[in-house]
Amino acid sequence: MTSDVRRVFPSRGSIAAGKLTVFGLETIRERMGTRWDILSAQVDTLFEAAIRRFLQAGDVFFKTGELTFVLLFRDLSLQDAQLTCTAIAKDVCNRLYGEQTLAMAVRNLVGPVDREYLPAYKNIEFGIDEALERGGTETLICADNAPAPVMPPPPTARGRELSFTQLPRTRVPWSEDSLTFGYRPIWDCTLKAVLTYLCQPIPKSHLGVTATPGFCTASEDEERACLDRAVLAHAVKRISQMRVEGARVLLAVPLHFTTLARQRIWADFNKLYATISHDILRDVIFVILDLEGVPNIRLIQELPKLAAARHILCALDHNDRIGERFANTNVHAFGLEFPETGLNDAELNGCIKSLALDAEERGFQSFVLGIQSTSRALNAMAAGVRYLEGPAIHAPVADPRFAFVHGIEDLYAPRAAQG
Amino acid sequence: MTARTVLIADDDKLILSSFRYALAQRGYNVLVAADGIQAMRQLEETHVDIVFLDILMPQKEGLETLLELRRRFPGMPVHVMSGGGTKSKHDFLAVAQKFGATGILRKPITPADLVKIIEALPLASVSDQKIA
Repeated sequence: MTSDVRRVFPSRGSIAAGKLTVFGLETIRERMGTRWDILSAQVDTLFEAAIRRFLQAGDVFFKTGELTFVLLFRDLSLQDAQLTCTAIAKDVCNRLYGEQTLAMAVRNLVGPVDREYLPAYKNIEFGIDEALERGGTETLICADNAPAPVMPPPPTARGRELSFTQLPRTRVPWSEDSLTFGYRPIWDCTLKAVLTYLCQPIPKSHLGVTATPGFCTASEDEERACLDRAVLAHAVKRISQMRVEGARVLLAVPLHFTTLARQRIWADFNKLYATISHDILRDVIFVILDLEGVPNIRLIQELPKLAAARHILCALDHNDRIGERFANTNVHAFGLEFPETGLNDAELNGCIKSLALDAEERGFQSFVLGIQSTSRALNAMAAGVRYLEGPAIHAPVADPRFAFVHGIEDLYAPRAAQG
Repeated sequence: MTARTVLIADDDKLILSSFRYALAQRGYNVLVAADGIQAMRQLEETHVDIVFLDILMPQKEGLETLLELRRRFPGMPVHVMSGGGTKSKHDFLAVAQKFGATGILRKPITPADLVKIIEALPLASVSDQKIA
């Protein structure tokens, strides 16, 4: 194995373009948040399995550090190496997220390099040396034990010629088949009841993983529209099914603003929307996402398309300036998906207070989703927020069958039971 | 006679400092906490005779703290304070009563209100506290 590695990655001199690819898992870790500690081993396994599927005899891969996989191709051209790496990344993301967007940094060596001049390169060499010293196959794996052919002499270009390229993004449409759904109870703290559930799409590849608060988002407008369509289609089916069974609740459906605003995308979405009876739409609440920077006039133009729905809620970023953006629109409430940022409780409470005050002054209701603690819940209530959702309010449910009464005391039910 | 020890938990620094000053002037030992976590820490480390607990606090609010107090220090006199929030639509104090608060105080509250409650404490209560 040592000789295989050294053929691909000689201990001195430079290596050829396309021989080296680095996968950085930082984005995956960021996206997983607190679940990373639990799932990192699973990610490694997925990655290794994907790499093994695509590597050829004599290729080498290993992991260095917590977040970096390095692939060394024995004899692929740069283009072929890029194609292979794209396939690996897509495979991993598909298994991890149910989507094929490249949620990771994939860097191919584009130009030949003399690694003595590149600190980053030295780290890779260190990783190789370390793995060889350990002498095991746990971290350094050749795709095949067959002896690799002798490499052609490497080019002699200097380190500064090295550049990295980001692979192009790819996308795949969402569909109901690729998603499953959880339901997040939304508490109307004025009525002290849960009448509405927020549909939370979860990629099927996440099954078995506790859903985190946060909308399931996609990166491109068309992807978002696919997701929106899938969620709406599911919600409508669910509402119809519940009615047949004699149950009735309201379902809140996330909808990206671009789905409304881009003519071609809306035309597609409207093929579904237009088929839904107004009677069913009376049980649908749209939660509009991605509104940052959208001016009042655009909201006035676009939101009436959803007039048949019971309500329109607008989800804002906590940094978003609300101003008078919702004046003269058919918006019922605006609010925040609570960010798990570096903000402390006092700062977050400040955000909520200004949100509630702004909403009240303009005659709207306000909501806060993703509330993690009773402290935040009580502060939001005291500030005048009407709709609250999050782990501190009620756990997500698999079956949104009934509306139910939910008082302040119920926020403490598990704790009271423990006491 | 040993001076009684009073713990006041409130995230309003002005209230804390004014109460602390006024009660210390009366000869009480006064401990302060900015949230429920600090309050519980004080209770674990120091003998306390009575607790005044605000409801709206960051990190760990008053109702949650009250439940824990009732579980861990069942005999501790705990008086819960609140203005009910700026909108006053929600009666947090009524919930505090259900959760076993010894008494409730609706803001605004003066130091004299606290003194009246402290003075009414039976002397025996000092030795009644046990950590669960």
